[in-house]
Amino acid sequence: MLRWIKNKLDSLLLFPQEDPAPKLPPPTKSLDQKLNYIKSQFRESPDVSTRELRIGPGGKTRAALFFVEGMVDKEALGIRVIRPLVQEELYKNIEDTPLSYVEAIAKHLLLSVEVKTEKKMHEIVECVLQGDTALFIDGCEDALILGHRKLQTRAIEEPDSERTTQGPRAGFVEDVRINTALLRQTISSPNLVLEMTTVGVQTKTKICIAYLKDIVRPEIVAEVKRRLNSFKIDALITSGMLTELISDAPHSIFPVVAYSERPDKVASKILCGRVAIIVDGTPFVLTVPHLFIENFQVPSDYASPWVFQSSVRLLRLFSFLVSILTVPFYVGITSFHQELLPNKLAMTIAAARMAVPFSAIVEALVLAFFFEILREASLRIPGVAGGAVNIVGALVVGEAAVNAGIVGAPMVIAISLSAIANFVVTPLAESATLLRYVFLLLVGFMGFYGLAYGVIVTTLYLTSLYSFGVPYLSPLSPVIPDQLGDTVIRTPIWNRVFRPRQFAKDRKRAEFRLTHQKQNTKDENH
Amino acid sequence: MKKLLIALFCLILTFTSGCWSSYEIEELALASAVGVDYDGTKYNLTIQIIKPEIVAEKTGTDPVTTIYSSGATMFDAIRNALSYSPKRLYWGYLQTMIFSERALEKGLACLIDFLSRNFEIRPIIWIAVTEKDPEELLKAKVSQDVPSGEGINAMIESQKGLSKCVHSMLTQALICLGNEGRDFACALFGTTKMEDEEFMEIKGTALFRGEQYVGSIDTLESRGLLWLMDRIKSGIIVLKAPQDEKLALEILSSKTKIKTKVDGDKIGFEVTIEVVSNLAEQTANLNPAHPDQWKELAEKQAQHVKDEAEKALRAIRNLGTDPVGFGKLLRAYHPKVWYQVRDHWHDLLKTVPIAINVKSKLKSTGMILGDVAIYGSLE
Repeated sequence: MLRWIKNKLDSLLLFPQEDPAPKLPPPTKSLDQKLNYIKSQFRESPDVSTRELRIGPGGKTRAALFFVEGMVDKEALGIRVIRPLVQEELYKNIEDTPLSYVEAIAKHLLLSVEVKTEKKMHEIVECVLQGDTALFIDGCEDALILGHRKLQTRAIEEPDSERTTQGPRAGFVEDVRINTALLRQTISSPNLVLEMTTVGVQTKTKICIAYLKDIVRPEIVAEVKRRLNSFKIDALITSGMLTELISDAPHSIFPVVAYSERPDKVASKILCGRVAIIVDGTPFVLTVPHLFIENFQVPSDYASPWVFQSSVRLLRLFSFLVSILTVPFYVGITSFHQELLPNKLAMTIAAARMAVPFSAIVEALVLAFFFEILREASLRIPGVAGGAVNIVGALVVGEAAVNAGIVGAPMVIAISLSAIANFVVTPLAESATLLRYVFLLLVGFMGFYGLAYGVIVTTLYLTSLYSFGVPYLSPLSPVIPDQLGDTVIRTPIWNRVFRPRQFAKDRKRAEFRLTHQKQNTKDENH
Repeated sequence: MKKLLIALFCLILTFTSGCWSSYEIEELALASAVGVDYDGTKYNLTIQIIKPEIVAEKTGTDPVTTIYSSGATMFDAIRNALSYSPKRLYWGYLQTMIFSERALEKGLACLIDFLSRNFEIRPIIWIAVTEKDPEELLKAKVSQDVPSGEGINAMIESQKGLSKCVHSMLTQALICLGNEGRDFACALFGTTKMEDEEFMEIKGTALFRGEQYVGSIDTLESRGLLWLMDRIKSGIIVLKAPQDEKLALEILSSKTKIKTKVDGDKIGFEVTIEVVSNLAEQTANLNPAHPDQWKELAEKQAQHVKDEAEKALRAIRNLGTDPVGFGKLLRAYHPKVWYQVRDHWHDLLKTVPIAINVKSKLKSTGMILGDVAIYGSLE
């Protein structure tokens, strides 16, 4: 029955839509026929323009340029395409060439860098809509596709979502080509494969699969490709949509596909043997397979010596637990297990709750709900008004509500603590928020039994998750000893010789002969 | 479908359990101290309930509400207290249980049975005895306006530096009552009048034989008992100087070992007390740099400790009780002998030879060496 519902839902979500069957002209030599088709197809769209020319010796041949305003570099088009086409003396060069007329023009006349010939009208239209320019010549079946794009893109900036103290400041942008270039800059290896494909019947979104062909396990690349081909969807606007489409566990509350805005992070994941998926139009690049422990790894972990960074890693793991468990723990203790509190703390909490009219669970739910509203509002609100929301929120919740005795001060502390801890592990923020509410309800009904229940079920659930066939909790469960060096603590770099065997075919990452380390200690002794 | 139903059924089974009874913490009346008295027919309880708003915010003067109840047994009396309390009485934060001498007439066991059976009451509550009416004792002032329970707890904690009484928790009462060879002893509380106000005070140690209360010893004898029991943490030894000068030592550490000596029918014990202390105060014109004088001081200390211990030994022999646990040692090292004497052990203990040796050691003289007055005159 569940499967039936799932299929039904799937069919609702992914309606297979055929092309709206445009009346394509058969390959023809007539320029008029082609222009008529374009004019009828784009009658309502004035940005799709054509420019008719007279070319050839004596201007006897008719030709037309077909492009979208705003997407092409008009200046380059004028200098590199139109000027050579209308210079009659240039045609002498191609008079006795064995090439076809179109090819000869492409080879000898045009100054464009990207030139290809295309026959099929729908392919031509697709290219033009993506920013290319088509050149039709009367009497020729083939058209020339010229790459004179001037795409609107922003500068490469430091990503706001993943800041780092040390390390590169570059971040991905929306254009897939710039993003692939950023990757190539980091990994200048001929092994880096960047395969392009398109998804989305209407949007024709370009997707690039990046991996290192000597390192990654081929079955994982094959699986990624299979999954990318397993659906047909009208639009793919962001990489987040793709996450849901290709993940092993689409209903999972934990992310099984990672995303990042940082080229250095994605590059290092590719170097571990992962596959990156770059979606045009989104600066967030997906990487698979994704492991649970990756959520706790950030680029700055590797920027300074391992002793301190290991403690920070532990802190991050602890914060994740704090963000989930603080509020349920507080509710459980105040309404079920009062004996667990030290005497003085019990007095303080009892005194703070004296005037509160609600039970602890209702108080927690109300306050947490209020916080979620506040958080959502501050995300959506225009920057200027954001401060006002924060002030009102902090004053209303923090001060007035406590003073009026609607909520107790310890509860405000617990909620704020868990909310702040939530932002420490950003990739798991959504999961932690959900779990907090589930655990809160369990605790409210069943005390610490419920909490233990929730924790056990969550752990079981985590062990049952897979990401592209790799156990989500690995290398912790199942244990992979040589991979434990970068989990709960981060061991020094010379300790991590192997790539993850879960997805890397070529496992040896490095070889160390760090003899100077021993020498140094000897020198100190003398 | 069938599998799904079974899975669902199993899932529901796990959800039908849960933790017992939810009560919000502010809906609970947190009992802090209980005084128990007995008037021949029923137990009269004085229960102090904490006012958390006053304790937490340190405002107001009276941090507790006192309620009274009575019943034929302890449990009955505790349950009857509910009719005087609008909130559910919660025993998790109980810190002290005070019994009057009258309440102990029928034995300790019937008083602590309920306390140890009930899951809310912690086994680490203090057991104390008072010669007075416990109601009056709990009314007496404790410094700093804390609830009496917490006040008694603080007093017992701080007396560890003075070694004024043998303090015991509920667990120790259970251990002593449940095992042969050692008798229970706990703190004795009373009141003292200062500036027209009654203040709570530690008066000494209450001693038991089995579950029967047999009497008490004062604070000085209590320290002697603590020497024997190896429970001296710290304290001050005031020595008599030749003239009327003052000479005081501060105990740094002590260790007591008791050896059993059984030779045929003859039972004997050898108590060795090791004590290390600092010179804490002197105006006796003593020169600690002089080895003879230093040695003499150590000998004096040894004699003093020995006197204290012997005094306590006499007191417990008179009362016919064995809080030190000589019997327990005998039971452990010479079980055959123990089983012969266990029935008349308390009488036998009065005559058994117990030798007390003291190894005394002095460590330092503090920040200055000799007498302050001499240094002053030298300058």
